[in-house]
Amino acid sequence: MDHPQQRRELESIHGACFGWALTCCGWNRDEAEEVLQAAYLKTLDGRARFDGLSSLRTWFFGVVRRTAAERRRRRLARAFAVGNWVRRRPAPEPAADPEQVSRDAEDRERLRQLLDRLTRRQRELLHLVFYQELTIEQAAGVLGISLGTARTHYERAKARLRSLLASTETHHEAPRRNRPEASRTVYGG
Amino acid sequence: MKHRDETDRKLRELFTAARSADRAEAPDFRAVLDGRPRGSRPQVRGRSIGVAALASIGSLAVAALAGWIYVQQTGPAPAAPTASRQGAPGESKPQTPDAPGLNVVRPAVTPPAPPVSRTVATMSSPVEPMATAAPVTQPERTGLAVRVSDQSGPLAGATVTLSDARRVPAVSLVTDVKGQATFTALAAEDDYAVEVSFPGFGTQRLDGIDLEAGENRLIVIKLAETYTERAVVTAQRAQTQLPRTSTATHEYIGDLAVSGEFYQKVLTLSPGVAADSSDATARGSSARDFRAIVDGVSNVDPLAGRFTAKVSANSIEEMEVISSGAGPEFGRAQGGFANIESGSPAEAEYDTESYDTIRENDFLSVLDNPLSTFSIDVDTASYANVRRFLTSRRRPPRNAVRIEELVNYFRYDYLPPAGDAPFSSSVEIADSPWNGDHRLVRIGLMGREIPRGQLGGSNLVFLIDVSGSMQPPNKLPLLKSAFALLVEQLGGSDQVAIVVYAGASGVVLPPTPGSAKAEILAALERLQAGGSTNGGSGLRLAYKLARENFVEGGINRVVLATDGDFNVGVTDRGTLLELIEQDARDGIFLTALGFGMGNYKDDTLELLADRGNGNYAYIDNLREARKVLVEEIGGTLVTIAKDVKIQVEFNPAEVGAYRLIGYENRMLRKEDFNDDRKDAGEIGAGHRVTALYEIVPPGMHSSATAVDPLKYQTPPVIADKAAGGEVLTLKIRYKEPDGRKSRLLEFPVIDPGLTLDQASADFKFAAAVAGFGMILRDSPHRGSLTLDEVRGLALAGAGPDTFGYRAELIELIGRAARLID
Repeated sequence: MDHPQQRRELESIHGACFGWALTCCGWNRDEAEEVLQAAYLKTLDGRARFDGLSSLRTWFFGVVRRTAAERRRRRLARAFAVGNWVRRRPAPEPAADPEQVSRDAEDRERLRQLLDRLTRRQRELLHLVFYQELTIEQAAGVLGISLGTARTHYERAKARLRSLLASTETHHEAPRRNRPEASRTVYGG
Repeated sequence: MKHRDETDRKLRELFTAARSADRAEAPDFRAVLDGRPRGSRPQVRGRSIGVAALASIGSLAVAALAGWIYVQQTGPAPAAPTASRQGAPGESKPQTPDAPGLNVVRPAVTPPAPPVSRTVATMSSPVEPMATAAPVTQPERTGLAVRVSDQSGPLAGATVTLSDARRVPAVSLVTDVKGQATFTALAAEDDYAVEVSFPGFGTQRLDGIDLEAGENRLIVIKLAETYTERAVVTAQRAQTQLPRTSTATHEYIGDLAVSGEFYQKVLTLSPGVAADSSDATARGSSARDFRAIVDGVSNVDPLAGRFTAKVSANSIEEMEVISSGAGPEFGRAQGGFANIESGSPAEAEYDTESYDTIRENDFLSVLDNPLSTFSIDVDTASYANVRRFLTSRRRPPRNAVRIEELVNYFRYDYLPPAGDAPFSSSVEIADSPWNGDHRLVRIGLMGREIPRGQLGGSNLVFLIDVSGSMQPPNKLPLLKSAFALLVEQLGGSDQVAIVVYAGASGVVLPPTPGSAKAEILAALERLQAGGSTNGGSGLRLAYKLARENFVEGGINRVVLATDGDFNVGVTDRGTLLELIEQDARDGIFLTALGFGMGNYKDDTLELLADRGNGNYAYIDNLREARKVLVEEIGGTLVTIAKDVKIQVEFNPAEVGAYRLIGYENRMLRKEDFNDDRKDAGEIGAGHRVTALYEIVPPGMHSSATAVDPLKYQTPPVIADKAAGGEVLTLKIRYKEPDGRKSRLLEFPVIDPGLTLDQASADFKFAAAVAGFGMILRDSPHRGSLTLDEVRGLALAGAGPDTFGYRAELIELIGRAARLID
């Protein structure tokens, strides 16, 4: 496939690719854009070569996923090497946002909270199947795992979500924070 | 079946909604490909940039100008539509910018907006980008605890290594007394692997561990020994062999001539048992077959058959010795078995340890004493010493407890220095836990890190005491293992020499490149203890070697390892100290490491390290050795700034009285601050120094003694500057490692008004450590503080605690509670 045609193809699936990149990057928008850009450039300048064995989309998803993983790893390696103990900043509280009007965004938020409770692989699988509408087999291809493994993770993920959905249905609360050890103490006074 | 469809339907619904929401916000293809400048976002229909977002940008800019933010930013603050999540709109208080270069902890309500896509890491977690532009629930705390045991019970000191699916890099922890190592703040991922190892046991590995968000898994791993001798466990004993048991109680022991000795001597009471300070044999069998258990934990080194800890005979509550025929339930005890329970400490102390008396700093009134001046101190031996006492069920002597050394034992999360600055400075102020009317000021300095690769050549001379008193396993043998750890860290550009002193002194290993590890380790191995000490000539020899092999611009250091028993004649001592001082001026510094107990002379080592412009540490086990020599190797060896002095001027309009916690033997006169001839402490690479002040608001009753008004002078007038709301001004003087003139840093500090709750975890923990020290010293300032409260505060401030040091303190607090109350 030649350069301009590949480019056109990529442009046509851009929206879907961005959604996938978001999932690979923990829904961090800036990170997703950088990863996606890197993946585009890799593809268009030939560093990543499409072999035509699958569809361009599933192949490219694989590129995006690996690029995201690489960046994570490099960041992690840098943090260890320098030994800088940068203070962890807590993520903002999931409070109800008064400015939010779109129902879709609300649902998306709820979905992300649910997906956060799964492992990375489960999360990615579900996204590929339900959001990108791939078959489990295609999804397995993107993730680089066997079909059997994919099926197992898929079932496990759905089972977990089933129970999560059941509980949130009745209570509809934000997920509880679970500390490794109980540290409710009273001091001072 | 029905449920399955339900879930599918629901998922489809949610995902479809998510997809639509994404579509509406997706960036343009060209924009992503060409990498348009960050910060310009497509406008989303029906949304406008919130007020909070603008305020966040504003405060971010101000804070950035003030140098508060030290982390790299990937772009200007986002104008993302969902930025309002970061704080209720309009709540940002107008902030006075902090003094440039000073980090001040502020209440969580008004943080500067976290830079977008900033990733932060703690040692134990694979990094996940903290989403801020598209906010996401904080991932639940996911953790993994690994409990290691061998066939007789929990195994402490085992190394547990956790790696994620990528297998690089891995994080290692060491199991605590309960045999447990806990990894916290992990990401929910598949395929973690855990590897557990301990000398003398086969390494165990467990793959394929999947962790879900919020899950806290416990894995129990049992290690099998790799000895050739196997204990065959049968259900019955031979009928003809009756166990010979003798039991001795505390009172009985107290009456004996063995009182004041170590428990091994008490063992000899039992017929057939021969014992000395390092091992015991029963009825002629091998020492390795003798099993000694103190309070449920094995006290025998499985490899050498020697006792690993000394327990004073006075602290034995009850002891049971089985000298033959011990049943299979006693494990590897073909030779004999002693089960020792220690109890309340005895009154008398027979040790030859000595400590300088410390008179605690009292409250001083600001009007009479506006300046507080002291030298920073990075020695931490007091903590290890206190730990040793508490672990042997003895209350530490008051003067062995130096609060500033306890506080400084722990790693606090200070921001590293920016640019070329040799160290960073941080201040945090919050309520005092032991007196709600007072506040605590925490001052922190952190030296620049130097990556291992950049350490440059080092010229090390190990000066090792091999006199007879170094023979026990926790002295020379531990020393050998400790130095072996250090040698592992060295490379071709380093060189090592070994000098010993005992009777005569001599060069055991001439300067050898750090890459010739086998040679160095062999020389270490050959060391034997014997003879009396002759520290003076050893030191001279060591410094001579160091001078002859001086490395310009590298690390030149004499590393002294001893139990402090220097045996140097009084007249010689003066010249010796002069020698050390002169060499220190020429750039050869001294690190003093104290090993062993019972003969430990704290003040000698400290004096040596002081004059030698270096530091000292007390090593009582391999874990401590690893901490000092491996983890902190940068700090132990490399000095980033020397003669570092702090002078604080308090504002009488804001502070009535103050008290510096600890640092009693580091106080300087106020004139000494600007006097460059006066020495002070050093900051090593990556080292953190913490000091705590307790301050009292003006007008409040404090224990500062009232002074009669002066007759010939009128009371000082408070200057206009005092009205500015500053609590204090922090001044720091330091010199470059090879500099002669000092430099000055000056920071005014305003109290942002944190409550204890709002204070950082580090603050809480440091305060807890200080409180612990105060209780151990029975300080008059402790108020009604209880160990329970201290423990609660320490738990609240434990944080990720990757290496378990904080958990260890919490355990020590528990031990102290049993001893004191």
